[in-house]
Amino acid sequence: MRYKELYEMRMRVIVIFLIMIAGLTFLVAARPLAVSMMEEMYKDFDQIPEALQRLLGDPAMVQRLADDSFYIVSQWQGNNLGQFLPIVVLLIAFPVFARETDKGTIFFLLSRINRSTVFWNKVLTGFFVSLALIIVLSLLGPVFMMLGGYDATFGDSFAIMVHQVISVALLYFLFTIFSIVFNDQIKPVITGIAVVLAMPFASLIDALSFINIYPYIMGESIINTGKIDWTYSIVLSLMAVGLLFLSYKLFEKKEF
Amino acid sequence: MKVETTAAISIRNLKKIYGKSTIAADDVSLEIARGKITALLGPNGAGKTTTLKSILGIIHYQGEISVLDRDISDVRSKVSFVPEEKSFYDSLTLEKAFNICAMILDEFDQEKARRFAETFDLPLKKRIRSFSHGMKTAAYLSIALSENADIFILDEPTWGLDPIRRDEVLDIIAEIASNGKTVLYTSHIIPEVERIAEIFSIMYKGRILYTGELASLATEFRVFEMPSRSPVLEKERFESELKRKDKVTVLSNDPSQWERVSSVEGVSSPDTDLQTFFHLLIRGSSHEI
Repeated sequence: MRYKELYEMRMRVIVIFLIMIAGLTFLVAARPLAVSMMEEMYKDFDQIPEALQRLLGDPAMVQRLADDSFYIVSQWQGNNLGQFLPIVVLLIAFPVFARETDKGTIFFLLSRINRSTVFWNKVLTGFFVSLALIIVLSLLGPVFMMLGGYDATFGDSFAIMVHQVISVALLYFLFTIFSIVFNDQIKPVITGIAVVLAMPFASLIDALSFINIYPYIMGESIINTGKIDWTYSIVLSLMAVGLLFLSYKLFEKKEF
Repeated sequence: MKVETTAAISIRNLKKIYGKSTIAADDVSLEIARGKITALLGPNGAGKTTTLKSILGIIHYQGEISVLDRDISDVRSKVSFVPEEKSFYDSLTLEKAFNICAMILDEFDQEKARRFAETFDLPLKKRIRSFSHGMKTAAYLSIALSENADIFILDEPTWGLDPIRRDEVLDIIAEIASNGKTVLYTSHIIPEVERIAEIFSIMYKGRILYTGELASLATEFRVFEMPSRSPVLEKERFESELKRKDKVTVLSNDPSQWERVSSVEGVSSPDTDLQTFFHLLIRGSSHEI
């Protein structure tokens, strides 16, 4: 059954991978221009509105970007890959059950294979594929820099990867719930996108800022302090386990 | 949920309510005999598909169901199911579909599936999404009928097939049963049921109205037709009456009544076929026998 799942998601995974690789290639190719572009952006930093200052971040970043390892970690994992991670996970998770329900193929599986086997095979295959995709893409950042002739190391890549692996788990199991609850393929996507878009807005309210996991995904604390945010990591991991358990219960109760 | 029995499938007091008040199965009790073809007949919304889904544990229900004397979760590999909507993974070619079935199903005979595909004239190298409706149905049947199952549960298996493929499917179903397998299937097409079924049950509004052997239908029941003003209608009480314009068709299971009624002028006694029996039960004055 795992082979069927892999076979069905192969095109999606290949397309996502190629798009992300194209982005990474561009990022490495743009390396010589990056510092001068950033210096230009930060030139009148003191005169721009405070909201825009917050958006641009710390001006000290510009100096640190001179380091190749910091450049790739901050601009790839801490920026491009981090920003797209929720969408990548959504694209893999949303059809896991919704497509089978929508197309009526779920009857073929549920009449022949026990519900728990169907659930674990489908959920875990998609989960490990998402995980593998993000791990490979994370590590390809420094590798591409080295191939481009730059003096980059893996540096904080592994630490940010820990954040991103936990984020994949949390988001994947959340999107799996949408895939179980809805009977078509559109609603899980729309709900997933709504969640992804709502996260940055939540941070505008202090009491809800913990909902916004974007800074965590992009390794903000690691880039700033060099340390993994263990407390938040543990909380998000527990939430991921809770969502997995909830999705199993929902699938067990669902009628088709 | 388990019932000890010698039947292939045993259903006791099945009840299924959708939402707050839609009763899809209302105290259904049914025994599906081993090694025979049982047809479940009924109009749309009678509860046939709900009953099949309950047997397979696809929906939750009240009551007791056992399959081969066990819970369905213990014997899934012994049961093959063809749902009402025969949707298979349409991005696959039929050949790939057979390969995947061989990987995920314990009891799948790939060679048999290829033979069925040949019988039904299905291209192995084309994606299922390019198939016509009838071809998709035939493709699904090629897969389901190639499982080495003991029980075949088929929901409207011939729906959408052309007459030639339909005949081929009915022959295959008959052959399956002749090899000692149990077949439970639903259909709207009564001549089809008459052709292959040995036992039939009629379901209406979530209840089983009648279960019996097709071969003994004509000996147990008799149908009479008479003018709507016939004095017989006032003197006798029948199992069911169906009025159509100036004619009344009645159903009787009382042999002594048959003699009295058939001697009355203007009364005729056509053959007791399943079609007439079904109509008298569903559309007649009485649904219970």
